[in-house]
Formats: sequence, C-alpha cells, structure tokens
Amino acid sequence: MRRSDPVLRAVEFNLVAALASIAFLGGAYALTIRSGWILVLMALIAGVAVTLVGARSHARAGRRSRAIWLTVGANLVAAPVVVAIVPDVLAPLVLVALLQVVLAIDVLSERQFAAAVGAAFVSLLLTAIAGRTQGARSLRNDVSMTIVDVVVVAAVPAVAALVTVLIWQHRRRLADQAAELRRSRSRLATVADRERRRLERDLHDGAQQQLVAAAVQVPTIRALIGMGRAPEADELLDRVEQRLRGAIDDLRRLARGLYPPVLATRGLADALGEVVTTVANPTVVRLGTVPRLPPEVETAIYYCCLEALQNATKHAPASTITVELAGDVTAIRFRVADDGPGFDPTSTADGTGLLNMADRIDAAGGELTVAAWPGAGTVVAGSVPVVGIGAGPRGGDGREELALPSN
Amino acid sequence: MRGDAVGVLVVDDQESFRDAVGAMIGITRGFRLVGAAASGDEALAHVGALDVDLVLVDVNLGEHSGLDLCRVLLAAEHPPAVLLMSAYRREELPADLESIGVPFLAKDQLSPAALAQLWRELGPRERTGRG
Repeated sequence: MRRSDPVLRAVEFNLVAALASIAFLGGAYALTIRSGWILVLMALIAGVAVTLVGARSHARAGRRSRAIWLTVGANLVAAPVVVAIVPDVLAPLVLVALLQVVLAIDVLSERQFAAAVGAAFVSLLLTAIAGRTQGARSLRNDVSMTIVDVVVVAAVPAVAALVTVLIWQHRRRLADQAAELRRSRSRLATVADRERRRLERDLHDGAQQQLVAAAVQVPTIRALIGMGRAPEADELLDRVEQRLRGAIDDLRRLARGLYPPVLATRGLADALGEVVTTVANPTVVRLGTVPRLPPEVETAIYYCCLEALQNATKHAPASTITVELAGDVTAIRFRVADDGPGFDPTSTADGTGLLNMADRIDAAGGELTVAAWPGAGTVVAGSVPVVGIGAGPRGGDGREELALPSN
Repeated sequence: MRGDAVGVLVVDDQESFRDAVGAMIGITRGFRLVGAAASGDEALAHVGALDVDLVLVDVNLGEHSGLDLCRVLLAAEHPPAVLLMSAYRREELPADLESIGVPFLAKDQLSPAALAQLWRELGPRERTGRG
C-alpha cells in the first residue's frame, strides 16, 4: 500500500470537511442561531464523520472499495436530508455528491461503479426535490440566510474545482497507463523480432548445414558406386545418415523450443516438470494441478518460468532451485527461486530479460515480482487471474483442439 | 599426375561441410584437397605453406566475414582463385557480394561437375598469371 493512497487521502479530506462543518455549525449555534435544526444538522454530520472514521480504517487496511462505499454512501444519505433542512445549499451538496462518485471511478469495479452511479442518481433526485421545499422555518432568518449565502458562494467554485482536478488526474493516469502499454507492446515486438532472428540463425547453422553437407555427399557417393568403390561409398553413406539424424535432432530441439508439445497436450504442470528434468542444479519441485488456461496465458507462464530457470542455472549454477506452481479457480501462481548469489536489482545493467518476463505476464493479465538480494538468492514469483480469461472464446472445458502432427 | 591437379583449400567453420567437400574432391579427377580451415587465420596459414590454387570460402566464417578473407587472399602477389560459398541463396546475401571480384556458388550446388565447370571459368586466367 502506497503511503499517499488517493483513497485514504479522499476519506481523510471528507473527514476533515465533516469535522469542520460540525465546528462551524456549533459556532453558529453558540453565537447567534439558537435553532434546534442546527443541532439536528450537527448530529447528522457527526454520523457521517463516524462512518468516515470507519472508512478511514478500511482504507488504511487496504480495503479500498469498502472505504469508498462508506464514503459515497454517507454523503449520498446525508445530502437530501441536509438540503431538506437548508434548501439553499442544494448546489454545493450536489457537487459534493458528484465529487464522491468521481473518486470511486478508479477504485470500484465496473459493476460496483454502476451501482454507485445508480445510488447517486436516486440520492440526487431526492436532494433536488428537497431543494424545492421551504426547509426549516426557524433557519429562515436574515443571519442564517447571510451565512448560507457565504457558504454557497465559497463552496460551489471550490468543490467544482476539486471535481475538475480529480477528473484531470484521472485523465493523466490513463495517459500514463496508455504510454506504458505502448512501451511494453513495443518491447514485446522487439523481443519477438529478436527471437525470430535467433531462430533463423539456429536453423541456418544447425539443420540446414547438416542437410547441405548430406546433399553434397550424394554426388560423391554416386561417383564412388560408378567406380565400383562400394566400401568407400558405404562409409560416406554412414556419414550422410549421421548428418540427416543430426538435422532431425536439431529440428526437433528447435520445434520444442518454439512451443513444447507437452504444453499443448498436457498443460503447464507437465511442461514445467519436463523442463526441470533438464536442469543440472538440484531442484525442489512442487507442481500442483492447475486448470487449463487459454494457450497465450499458458505460454506466457511457461516462458516466464523457463527464463527464470535458465537465469538461475546461468547465474547460480551451484544453487538449489525451487519451482512451484499452484492454482485454484481464481488464479494461477508460480514461483521460481534459487539460493544462489542473487543480485542487486537496482544495479542490473541488462534487465531486458526480466522486463520481457514482466511484459509477457502483464499481457496475460497477471503480475510478476522479481525479488533478489546480493548473496541471498533470487525469487521470481507471479500470478495470473483465472477469472475473466476462462470465459474467452475457447468455451467448453477450456481445452483447445490439438493440432499436433500425426507422426 | 597428382602434382598437376588443382590444389583446393576449403575454409568453413562447419565441420560437416569441410568433411563433405573433402570426400567430394577426393573423387574428382584433376583436383586434390590440400587443406581444410575453420577460420580465416587458419586459411591464411595454409595458403602460405601449401600449394593452393583454389580457395572455397564460406561467406559467414563464424564471427568474421568470408569477404574479408577474400580481400586478403586477392591482395597477394600471386593470388589463388577464390570462390565464395554459403548455405544461403545468392539473393539472400548482400547485393554487392561480387564487387570484390569473386564468384559465388550456393553450397548445395557444389558437385564434381560444378567444380570442374568453375575451374574452366576462373582457373586458367589465374594460372597464366602465375606462370
């Protein structure tokens, strides 16, 4: 939780405003306006303040949507009652209600926000009707009206300005998010290009060279047979066979690197289990049963774990590597940890691998954290929510029809 | 008879291709393999020590370019004939490949007949230069 959480700030701002209102009303009651309605208003706003204290503790505990609900709710309940007593404060209270709804934009889910807008509509309808009533007769004297005039003239532009600032901040946050999204998309494209370049080179240096060598041997073998030098031809045939088998192995290895067949046929746990067997380090493996996910999500998690494993074997060759995968109906969690030399994450010059991992998981809708300490190992941990991605175009039991070759 | 055969040096970082070229030249009348090199430096050492008439140079010699080797070879007082080779097709390689005056042959096109044909085209000129 960040120290300057906007929700906590908003709740505290509301609380200060409520307490100031109570103090203001108390002063007015003590000095000039001896109306029982002032005490009713103070009690009402005190109720709002108590609710806001509750909201504040929710906000501090990170329960942001509950804090926002309490704040919005208290304001929306209080607004029509206050306006029924003092109809002239209609305009600033409408703006205050609007301010709360704008606050909720970034915090509530879409459905919750729709409910908040509905509640605000009902509350403001009642507030508008209350604004057309006569209000409390005992407050319709010259002194009270003067005070209300001052409050309205001061509060309307102030609250309107606050609403505008909040919307502007929201706009700036969206622009920042869009910019980061563009950057991460461009990074993913760069990585994809680099991968393809590497693949081309691997194909060229591997299978293609073996096949070229085999092809060049064929005229030689034919010539040897023509000359009746069968033993030499036979020896060359052995070498051709060796080249062809080498090419087959190369292609199989490359194809598996592109997309491991076991990931498609059996899922993440089996695919990771297979990878772990190729690691030379001692490993602790805890691979739980996880639901099948859309292929792009499984691939993202697989390559993130693969990269973390490769990093661990490269930078911490003597360490024990722990690989964990667990999941339920809400989220898949994975973790690759080693007890090797670690590193200082703030001074890593080449963080492109880590950034790429984070981008991939981000694109799959998940989150990734990389924790490392010099001398105390590295932990790569992430989670991808299942909710929302299971209802994708795959449908059925979430399994895609496999397009594996028959041989 | 062997002394009259064209001495061939193959320069390629791929062992499989050096091996295949070796076997092919072994049965090609009029040619003999005088050496195989995995790098440009190795190749230059061979050219200095052996009687090399024709050098088959891979375009991509690991970290170094085969073109650089060709330039060094051609700058010699009595340059051998040089042929650039690659597993890439000609159209996949830089457009100005032949600008240094060396012909190109795709690796998979190499055969005894192709070698003999090539030597008829570029060998004699080089040899008159030498004799």
